[in-house]
Amino acid sequence: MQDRSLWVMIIHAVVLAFAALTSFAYLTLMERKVLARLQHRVGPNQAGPNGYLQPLADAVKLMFKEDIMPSTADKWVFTIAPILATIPAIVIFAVIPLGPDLVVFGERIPLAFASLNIGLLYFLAVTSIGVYGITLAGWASNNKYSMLGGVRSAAQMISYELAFGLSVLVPVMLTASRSADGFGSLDLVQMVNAQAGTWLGFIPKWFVFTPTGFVAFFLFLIAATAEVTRAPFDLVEAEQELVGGYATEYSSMKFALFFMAEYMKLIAMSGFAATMFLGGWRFPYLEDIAGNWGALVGFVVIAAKIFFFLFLSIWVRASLPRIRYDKLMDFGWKRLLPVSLATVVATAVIVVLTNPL
Amino acid sequence: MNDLTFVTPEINWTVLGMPAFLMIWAMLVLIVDMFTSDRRVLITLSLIGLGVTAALGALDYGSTVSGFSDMLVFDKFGVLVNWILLAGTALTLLIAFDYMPRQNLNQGEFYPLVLFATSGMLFLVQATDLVTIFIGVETLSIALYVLTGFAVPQFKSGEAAIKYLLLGGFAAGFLVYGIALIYGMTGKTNLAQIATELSTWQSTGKALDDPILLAGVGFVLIALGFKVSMFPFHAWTPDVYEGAPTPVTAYMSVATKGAAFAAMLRFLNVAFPALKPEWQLLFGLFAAATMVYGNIVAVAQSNLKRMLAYSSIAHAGYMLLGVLAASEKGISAFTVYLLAYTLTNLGAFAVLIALENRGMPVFELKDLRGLGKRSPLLALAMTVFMFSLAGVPPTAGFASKFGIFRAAWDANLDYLAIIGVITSVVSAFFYLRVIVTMWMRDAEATEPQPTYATASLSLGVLVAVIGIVAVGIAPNIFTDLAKALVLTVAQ
Amino acid sequence: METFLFITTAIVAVGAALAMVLSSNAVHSALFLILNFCSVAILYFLLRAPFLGAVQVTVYAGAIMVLFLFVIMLLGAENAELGEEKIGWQKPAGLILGVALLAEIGYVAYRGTKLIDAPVADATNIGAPTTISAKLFSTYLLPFEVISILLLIAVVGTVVLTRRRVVAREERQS
Repeated sequence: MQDRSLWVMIIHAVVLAFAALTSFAYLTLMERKVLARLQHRVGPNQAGPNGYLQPLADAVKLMFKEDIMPSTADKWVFTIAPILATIPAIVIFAVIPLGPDLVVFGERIPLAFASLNIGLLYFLAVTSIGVYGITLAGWASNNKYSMLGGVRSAAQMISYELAFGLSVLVPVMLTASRSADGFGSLDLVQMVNAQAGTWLGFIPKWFVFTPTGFVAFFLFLIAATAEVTRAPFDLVEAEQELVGGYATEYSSMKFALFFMAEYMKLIAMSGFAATMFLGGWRFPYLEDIAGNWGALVGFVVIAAKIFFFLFLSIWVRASLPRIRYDKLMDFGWKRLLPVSLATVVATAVIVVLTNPL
Repeated sequence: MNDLTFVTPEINWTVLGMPAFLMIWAMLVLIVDMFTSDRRVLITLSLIGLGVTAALGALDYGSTVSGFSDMLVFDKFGVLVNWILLAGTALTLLIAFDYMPRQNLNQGEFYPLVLFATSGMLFLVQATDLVTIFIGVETLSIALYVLTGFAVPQFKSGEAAIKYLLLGGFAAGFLVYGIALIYGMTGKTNLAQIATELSTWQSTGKALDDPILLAGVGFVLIALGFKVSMFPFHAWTPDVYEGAPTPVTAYMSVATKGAAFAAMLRFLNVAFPALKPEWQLLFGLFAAATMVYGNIVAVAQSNLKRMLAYSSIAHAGYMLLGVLAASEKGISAFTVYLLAYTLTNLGAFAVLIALENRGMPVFELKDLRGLGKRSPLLALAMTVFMFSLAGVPPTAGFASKFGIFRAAWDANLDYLAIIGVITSVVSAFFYLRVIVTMWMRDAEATEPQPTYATASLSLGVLVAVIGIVAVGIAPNIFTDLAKALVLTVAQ
Repeated sequence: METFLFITTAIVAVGAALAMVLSSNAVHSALFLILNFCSVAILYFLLRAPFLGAVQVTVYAGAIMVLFLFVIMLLGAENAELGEEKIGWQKPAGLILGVALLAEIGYVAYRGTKLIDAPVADATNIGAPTTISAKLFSTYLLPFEVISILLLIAVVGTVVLTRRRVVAREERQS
């Protein structure tokens, strides 16, 4: 971790943050376009060729809007809430391994910005902090719709965090079953490395292709969708019931920040899903390419995987109706949690049976 | 990172047997409770569980084994105290059996929760590491918080539970902080290893009265003192005892004290014999204050439940003498005292339970008037209990108090023994007042209160009375019985 | 660099703790407490205990405080009036005892009592998840398992205490 100079790290961080921000901007466009296609519409096509400058236009519009501060709001909390929502969404990118090491001008740059031995815990910690932005926004607005949205988000995220954390444990245990010393790892780089190689020459050894990993993968997808409050779990901002939910009173850039946080979290979750279950930047045979080309190919592979998840999320949003609130809680506690517990236990049994201590 | 090796830990069932069996059994009762609401099934199962646990202790009685990185020990003292706790729990269940439905508290979870609390206590009694001591204390406490609030929509149960929870949480903070300081100074959490570390300090000339170490020991003792309601940390006792359902109060007043005192005894005698002069002086003062305070304030109480609460504070003071004596004699006197106190206090509360109507939570002394005529057997039993609490021969109370005072005297704590005797005389006043009220005052002209001396409760009272008289006549009967039991098992 | 980080974090931690106590709005207090937890987590990172730091954030800042906020918000208790001080001598007594504790700490620092040295040899690995797990599942297996019983009791207790009210309400309605 300390093999880079401070400057390289700073530049890397800035590039990473900007990449995340740009991809967020174009994710909004992609969402609108894909949704439109799924609903037999055309979607935005006026700004620039084919509408490709639409995000830029949106940004300019939002920046020049009036920033309204409700008179009864708690001013401090109202202001820091969007910031609290955005920061976790950005810093979470630090631990996603985007490819093998890159060498530029003699400096070795690992595409995994930070290879922490607690990478996964960092991920859980940061996502759990992410709740505050929405909850506090709802409270500080001093508006009953916002408040309801905020309370719903807190309850929902806490409920689904259990299943989320448990489903993430499965890849950790599977990493342990493939490591030499019998210890698992919370380091995402090592988790990706554990997924190298193939079975029978064509099935990649990704965790999703193991029996319990397969179940855990779907549990993760469901729980992650609830964590980022995407449809069909977007009760936090259910417009039919709650106007704009927690964001009702927000305008201008503060509003944009919430949007940004949500989409960046979605990208990050896709990145983690790809990393933990689909082998990250690894792809059979392509992963064997050495040097900078290998790094580039790795980056393209994981980008494609992330793209796949983003598309899936939009597809789900277009296809499924929103769940009723009590059904949501019911599902989280009475279905998802027991299944994830069973999966974890099953994984433990399988790991011990196949790798006796 | 590759030099790590994973050593599969050794599971020693002799050591773990008693608490582990009770924990598992409690879970079993919890599951059975899901399918049946028949409380007769639940209490039978619970009593069987307690019996089997006691038998597990008898299997290897006499041997001293420690296991789990020396965090838990199986020894004579631990088994004896565990037996007393198990007997106390069984009595509690008996006296609660008819009371709970009468108060509309017929939730089956009561039985597993009591078993869980007891298992925590057994664990605590056997703990020889600060980590296990902490977990034992917390396990029993959490179960007790819930039990205290078991009558939540009614009475002052909620108030009592909240008070107990908040102050208990505070005490837990002291415990952890104390453990952290001790670990910071010695680098050990194991009691025996701490003692070894301190003896190396002595040999290298390092000062033992280091303020951080002393503060650590003090903090741990504050937390344990809170659990036994020692004088400056007793303030929660009367309110919690008054608010909790009466069987829970009875249970708390004996079992928690027994377990926490056992832990205190191990903590002081195993880990810090080197600091003996310090803690004997400091806790001698606390013990004296506890005895004086508990007895004198009890005189002023007209509410029986509160009177028994203060009396339990006073008795904590007496038991503390046995702990402070720090001798073979002191430990055995403590065990006998704990047994006598358990039987007596549970019996006294059982009589209160027999008198407790639904929705009549206040027990004024005057409610006892004319009990001698209304139900002479109950009054007779109460008389025995009061005599025993006061320490009148030939009851268990006398024999055990005598043993404690003699142990304190022999350990050069003569001033404590003297204070103990004097306060005992004071205590006789309010214990005898109960007897006088029962036998010599006539009830007011109002409608006579019904009594609920049901079969299970009567059984409990009977066992308590027999036990008290037996221990009173032959204080060693308990240990002798234990030995005999072991012999029969061995043959 | 490390000293600088430590001093900044320490100031933030102490400042947040003070602000938490002094703030009259419960939500602000909770927020300052979260800030305090996060800065303590950074202190753990500086002490080479990243696992502890991450758990501190996840459990305290991420889970417990969310529930705190949740309850405060649901009850609308953010501006709860403090009751009249019932015991007049409590505040001065607390102040005196607090000063006494501070003096005690100062005395200990002055005497230069030395705590045990951290095992420097494997300082980089001491807080690693693998090191912790190896200890937790061998030496400390028993406490680890018994804590699960503790949590079970807490869960059962919560259900017992809350469920009864629901049952009672249903009975009243029917």
